Amino acid sequence: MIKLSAISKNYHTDKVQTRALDNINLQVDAGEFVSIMGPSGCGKSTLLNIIGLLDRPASGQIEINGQLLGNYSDSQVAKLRNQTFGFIFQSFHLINELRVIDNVELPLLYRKMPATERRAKAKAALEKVGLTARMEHFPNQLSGGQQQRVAIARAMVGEPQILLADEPTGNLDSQMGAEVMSQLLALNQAGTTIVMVTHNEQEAKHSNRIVRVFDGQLVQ
Amino acid sequence: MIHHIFKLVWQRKSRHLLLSLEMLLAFLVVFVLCAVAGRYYQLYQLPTGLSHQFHWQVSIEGQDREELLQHEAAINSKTQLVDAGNIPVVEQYQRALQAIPGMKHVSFIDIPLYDMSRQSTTTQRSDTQQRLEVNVMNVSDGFFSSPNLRLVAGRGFNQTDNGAAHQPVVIDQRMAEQLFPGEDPIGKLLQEDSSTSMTSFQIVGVVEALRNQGELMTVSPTLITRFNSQSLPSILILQLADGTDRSIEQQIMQQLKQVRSDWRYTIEPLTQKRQSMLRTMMIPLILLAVLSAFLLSMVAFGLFGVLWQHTNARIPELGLRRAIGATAGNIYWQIIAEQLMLNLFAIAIALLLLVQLPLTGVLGNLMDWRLFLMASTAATLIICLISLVCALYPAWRASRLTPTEALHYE
Ligand SMILES: Nc1ncnc2c1ncn2[C@@H]1O[C@H](COP(=O)(O)OP(=O)(O)O)[C@@H](O)[C@H]1O
Ligand SMILES: [Mg+2]
Repeated sequence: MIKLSAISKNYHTDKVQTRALDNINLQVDAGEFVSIMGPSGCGKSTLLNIIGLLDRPASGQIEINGQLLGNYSDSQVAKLRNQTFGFIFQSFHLINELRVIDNVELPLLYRKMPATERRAKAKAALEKVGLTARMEHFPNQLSGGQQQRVAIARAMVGEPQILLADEPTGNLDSQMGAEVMSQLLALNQAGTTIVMVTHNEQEAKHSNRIVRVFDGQLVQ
Repeated sequence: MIHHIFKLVWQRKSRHLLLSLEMLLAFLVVFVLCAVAGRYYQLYQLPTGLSHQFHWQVSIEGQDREELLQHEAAINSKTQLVDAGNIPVVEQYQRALQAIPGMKHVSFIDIPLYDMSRQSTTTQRSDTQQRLEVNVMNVSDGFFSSPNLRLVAGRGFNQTDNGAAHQPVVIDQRMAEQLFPGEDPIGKLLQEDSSTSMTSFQIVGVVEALRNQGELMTVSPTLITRFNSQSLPSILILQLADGTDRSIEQQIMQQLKQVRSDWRYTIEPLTQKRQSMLRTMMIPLILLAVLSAFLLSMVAFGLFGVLWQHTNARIPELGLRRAIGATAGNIYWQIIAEQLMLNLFAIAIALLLLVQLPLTGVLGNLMDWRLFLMASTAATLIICLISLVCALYPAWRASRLTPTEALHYE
């Protein structure tokens, strides 16, 4: 489903060059639940962003569903982000000026879809994460765990094949984290491929496979 | 998407309050500018009753008081003034000037054309005593041969008016509408609004318009009285054959000096007078335009700064949008659309206030619906254009960031 070959990524800041990723080869199959672990600053987020096409590697190749991503145009990449991937971030990244339902609808705005269908899909997604009652609230009226569940609903509303989660429980206490984890597991059971960055060994145990990163390289 | 952008703008309304207020004020200023410019344009389109091409104006100065008084006394006592060879000075000028080849008409008036001066009086209908403040101008019979002074009813002055019981007058359409609505003014009597004066006037004709200051003069009711051929002339209007150039002025001067060499003459082509009058009348508009341009550039700088800050502050939001499927183009247009929408809010409020002007008619005929529509359309376009220009760069920059850069932007 996803195949990374010889991926490298450098960051340049004030004459200092950081090699964030160094010759990464990684394959994720359909239906897998992969956890990425490693110390802080080792390149986990960078790796996840490259998988999700939020960032471009300095070198190496990315294949998605057997398609090699070469010189894809901005709109082609945007379409993949919109339809193939769903993202969950540590800091939720909800838009505070929009109601919960509007936040969930957001990815569908970038598709051609009638407003009523969008609304129906957003409601269904909120129902799955158990937040139907909070539909008309604003994000800052919700707890952290609830906000992250809204983010999950937003990631899932477009029915992507692959869900990418960067420390989804990192800002949550253990009880809320457990709630979020159970949502992710349910989604994986329903067939969604998940790649998750985590610090939590307990959480990682739920996944099929753990990938460890150290200093920009994969370790076995 | 429009609905979505509307929601965002609406939710951020308090943050945008000052900005909207600024846009509202800027809109008001631009509206005033456009309304004044539009009003000038409307006036410019209206008939003046004046012709300027191949027309010259001669102003005579240096007549001494005594002579003037003599003439006035003669006119009042209705006796013929005995002058050189018994010919009135007006007649002498006529003859002398007609001798110039290409001279088509010579006429006499009492206030200069394409000039700031105007004279007014209050007149009243003899039958209803209804009064009206009017501009007055005194012209000789020949003035009606001016090609642009169009009669819409009746006639101009001619020899049959000599010794008439009532002094003949011609009025303009505006005066006819105001003093004789729905009536035929021809033959109606007017009198001067002073109990002592016994002079009464009879309307013999109606002209389309006569605005002595030219194109940019406001339209007000105008009364045209007949120049008495016994009086001393002060301003002459000469109509010459097409193609005549300024070299004729020397010849005109010679002929004038033949009549009275002790008087001073100023000869000027009307085309030139018209040009300089237009320039003079444009000064307030130009000042207003310069002030507005200055103000608008301040507004534009302010707007740019605020937009820059607002856009920067929401780059993480824009990054999120990129991450969930927005293209760079989507981001670019979103920022521009939000700014335009905010702008339209401000404009809508301003228009709600301004529409009271034509609705209540406080400005009378200064602002009609056409002018209002013209000014509000032009002002809306200008303000939207400024908004657009100020939003382009912040929008472009925000759309260039990669999603990761944007998501982690501080
Ligand atoms: N935008 C950036 N500019 C410069 N350096 C960066 C940037 N993002 C990440 N890095 C550096 O790249 C390395 C990997 O970062 P990251 O992938 O965020 O690590 P992790 O998510 O594993 O904590 C770190 O050394 C970090 O400092
Ligand atoms: Mg990270």
